[in-house]
Amino acid sequence: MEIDDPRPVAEPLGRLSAAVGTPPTPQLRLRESPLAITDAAVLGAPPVLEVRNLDLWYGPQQALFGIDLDVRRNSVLALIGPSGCGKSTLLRCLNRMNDLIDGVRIRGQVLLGGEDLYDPAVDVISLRKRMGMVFQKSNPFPKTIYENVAYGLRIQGERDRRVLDEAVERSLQGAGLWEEVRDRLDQSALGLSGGQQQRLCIARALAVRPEVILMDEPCSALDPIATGRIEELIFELKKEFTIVIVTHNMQQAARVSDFTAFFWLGKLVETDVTERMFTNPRQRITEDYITGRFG
Amino acid sequence: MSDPNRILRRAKRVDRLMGAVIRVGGLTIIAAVIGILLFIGKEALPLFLPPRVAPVAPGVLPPPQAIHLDESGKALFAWDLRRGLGAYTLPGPAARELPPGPPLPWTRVLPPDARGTALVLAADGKFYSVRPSWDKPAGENDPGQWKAEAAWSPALDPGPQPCEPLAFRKVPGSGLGGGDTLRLAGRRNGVLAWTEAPAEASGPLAWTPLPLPGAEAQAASWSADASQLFVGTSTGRLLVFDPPSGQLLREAAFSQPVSALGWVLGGTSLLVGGRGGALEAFQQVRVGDAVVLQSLRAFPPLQGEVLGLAASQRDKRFLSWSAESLAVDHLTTGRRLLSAPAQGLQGAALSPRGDLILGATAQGQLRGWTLEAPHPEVSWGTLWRPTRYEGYAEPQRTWQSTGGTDDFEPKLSLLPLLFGTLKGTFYALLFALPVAIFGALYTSQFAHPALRNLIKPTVEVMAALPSVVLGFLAGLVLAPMFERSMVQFVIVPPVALSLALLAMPLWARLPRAFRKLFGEGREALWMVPLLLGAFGAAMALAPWIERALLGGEYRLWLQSHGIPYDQRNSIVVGFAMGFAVIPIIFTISEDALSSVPRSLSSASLACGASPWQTAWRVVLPTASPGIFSAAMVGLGRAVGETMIVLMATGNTPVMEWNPFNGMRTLAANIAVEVPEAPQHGSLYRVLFLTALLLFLLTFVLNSAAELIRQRLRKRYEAL
Repeated sequence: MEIDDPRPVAEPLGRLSAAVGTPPTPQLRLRESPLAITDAAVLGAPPVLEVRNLDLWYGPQQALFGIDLDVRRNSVLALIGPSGCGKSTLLRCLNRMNDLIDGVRIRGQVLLGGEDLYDPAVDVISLRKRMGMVFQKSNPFPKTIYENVAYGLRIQGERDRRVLDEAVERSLQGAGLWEEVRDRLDQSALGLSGGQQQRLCIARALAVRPEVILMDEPCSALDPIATGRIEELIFELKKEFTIVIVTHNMQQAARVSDFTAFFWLGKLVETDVTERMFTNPRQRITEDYITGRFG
Repeated sequence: MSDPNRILRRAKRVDRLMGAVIRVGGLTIIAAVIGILLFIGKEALPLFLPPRVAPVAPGVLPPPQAIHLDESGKALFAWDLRRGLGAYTLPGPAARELPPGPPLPWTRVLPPDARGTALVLAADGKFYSVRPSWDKPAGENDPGQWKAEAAWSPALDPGPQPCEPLAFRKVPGSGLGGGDTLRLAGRRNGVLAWTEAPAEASGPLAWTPLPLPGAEAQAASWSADASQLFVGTSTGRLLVFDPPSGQLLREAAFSQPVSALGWVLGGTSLLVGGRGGALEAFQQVRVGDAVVLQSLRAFPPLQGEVLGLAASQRDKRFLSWSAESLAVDHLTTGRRLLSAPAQGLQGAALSPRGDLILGATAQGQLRGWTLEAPHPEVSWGTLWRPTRYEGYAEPQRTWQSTGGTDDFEPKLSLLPLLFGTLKGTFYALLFALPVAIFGALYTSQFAHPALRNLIKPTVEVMAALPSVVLGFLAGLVLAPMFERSMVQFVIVPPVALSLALLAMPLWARLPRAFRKLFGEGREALWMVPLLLGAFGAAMALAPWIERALLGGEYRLWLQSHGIPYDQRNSIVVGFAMGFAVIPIIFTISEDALSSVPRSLSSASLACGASPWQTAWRVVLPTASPGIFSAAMVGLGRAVGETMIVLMATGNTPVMEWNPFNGMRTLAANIAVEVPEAPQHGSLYRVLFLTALLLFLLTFVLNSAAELIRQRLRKRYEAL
């Protein structure tokens, strides 16, 4: 896998640029991937989300330690790491879903467009409209396909049928589901297959035109074909959205993401451009994890 | 230990054994439920069985003019124009000895009344009355040992003109001096006349004519106290006279010339038989300010002229006969219990119990029927449709199972009870459903977990409160309290609601940090002082409102608007019974709401929905089948609830939606009436029928709830 060179790399990647050019560790599977080519524009894009020195406690137990992370506009950031390393926790910090869990304490900052999400003046509800989320297990509402997609707009008080129709079609097309369901929008979403349900959930997140889409292991419950479709979809979506994806699947991270962040025991071990991360990680432990020596 | 095969075999054996035990237990429960259902059904079923009639052939008598059956049905007296009064015991009939009576042959016999008192016009042209009886030594059952007695009255001289007697009544003396008096009505030369005399009168009777323009009196009968004379004419008119004043009180039209008059037990309903066989019951009833004589019910006609009418002394059934047929009908239901062709019938009698009918033909042939109709007053129509009862001008839907006298007509309409059940349930659910469901929604979706862990067990402990305690509190504490402060009670909810609506925007304007520190998930605690404030405000406002708007006394105000106020009313019941059903509705709803997958509410929140929008648009609809089933279970519980309604409703079987009066429910009715219901009587069986109804009602409700819960489970499996 080749990286376009030279190109401007922003901090913290700048510090790591020394690593670029070192002989790549053989990653045969990576070379098979047809997708992930981090393009130069992404590397230079401004950060949408900035996590600054974030600590998080579940009751007395600290789960995240001083996380610093940037998410660049129109990029895909993959959060990887073994189970319980805090990647999902971090993801849920980004739209304050952790607020719902009792006994969570957070210190530090998460900046969305320079504005701190944890500022007491921030309205959680309007914040969540800017951060779409797709969950590990597809969770369509027991409503019709149409109502599932229109939900986000309906709760904002949208009643105009034309606006809703337009948004539903746009979102379903965005999620690559339109052709499959256009004739049965008024049927229950629970009748769709697992992969279709997950794409419906993506469409539901797209409908409110968020700035960032958070995906929490979106393919872990899907078969390889459905997974492939979601991955293609992510590749399409990043043209318009910024995506943070948590995954256990190394190949997936390599295929879909521009940047990868590796977490271990609640700490951010390292973050880098995906190609470099998978070919030439700076930390021994990252390499061990990526190559499957533990996990 | 050592042989794994043995352990495996043993495990399998135990498995089979326990499986069998569990199966047997389950089947036993099902069998028990079905058994109870069958037993209840079996007890109620005889209500709807047709009457059983069996002919008997008692034999031959010298042809009698009239007969009267003894209470036992084993002996009878017969009046014969040529042979006089005869006493007979059955079977046989075997003639028994009697002292000789008035000189024979008689010219006329006035048939015996229900007690067997008859009047004869003897060969000497004088009247003699007699009430023959049987002397049964020490309750002897064998009629062979009985002795017939007949004490004839002294002769009454009708005077020089021949007189055909029509009606006769002996009025017992008041006990303040003066003996019994007799009242007689008869036709003298075709003119209706009446007379009154002391029972021991010796001189000729003094007759007073009663004007009867354009018609001839065909039949007459005195009312029970002999104060009024009812007369049926050849032109088909029914007239009521007040003989002392000679005044015609009221009249009614009958379809045919009248041929016979008689009374149903109780002396309220006058039976009228026509020359063409028509049969109808009339009664005097107050309509508005006037008392009118009106038809109560018409019965299917007999074949041929109605010759006579006789009533049972147990219930409202009566016998009517013509020369061709004979019938037993029941007044309340209008049902014909027995109908038999009987050629050449002359006299007939119904035993006082109404279970034996004897007819005698002009040839002296006796014909008999036994009639087994234990519940003639109950029919599908009287249970469910408005029914004409004695003493009412309009059809009624009334439950009044027992009265002060033996001749009371039971009114067994189930409609007021069913209505009361639904009314009580309605008011209970009106109170319980919103409280329980919104409470469950709050607890499962909004409350701080610490608060939830407090609320849920507390509400569940509420369910353990015995309903008799609730009923006691409701009836003896709550009801008087409500009566004292109904106005306060009515205005608390609107006051509290408006205060809350005022407070909420203020709360939202408080600094976020303050709210976060004291409020998150504990908003409900802040509602407590608010509610107390509302309560105080209501207390302060109520007297003012009562003075200003309700004229100072709300009960009078309600009364003036046609709404009676009972202390034990639907609001009290709704409150107390609501309290009893809240726990079950709350618990099931809370479980349903909590079992909505967290992923769904997370998805909704992540879409930018507020917690309320999430609860309202995602959680509540998803849990709705469970909540529906909770409501159904609550409904079933309220329908079957007994103790609270028994103690707090006043048990008045009225049919009004008015929240300020009480009701009587099916369940409470059973509890109230069972001690008064003689075993295997009509009331007893009707109570079993209501039990069956209650059983089916709760069974259907609970089954529906269970089915819905099953469907809900399936629905979640897809998520």
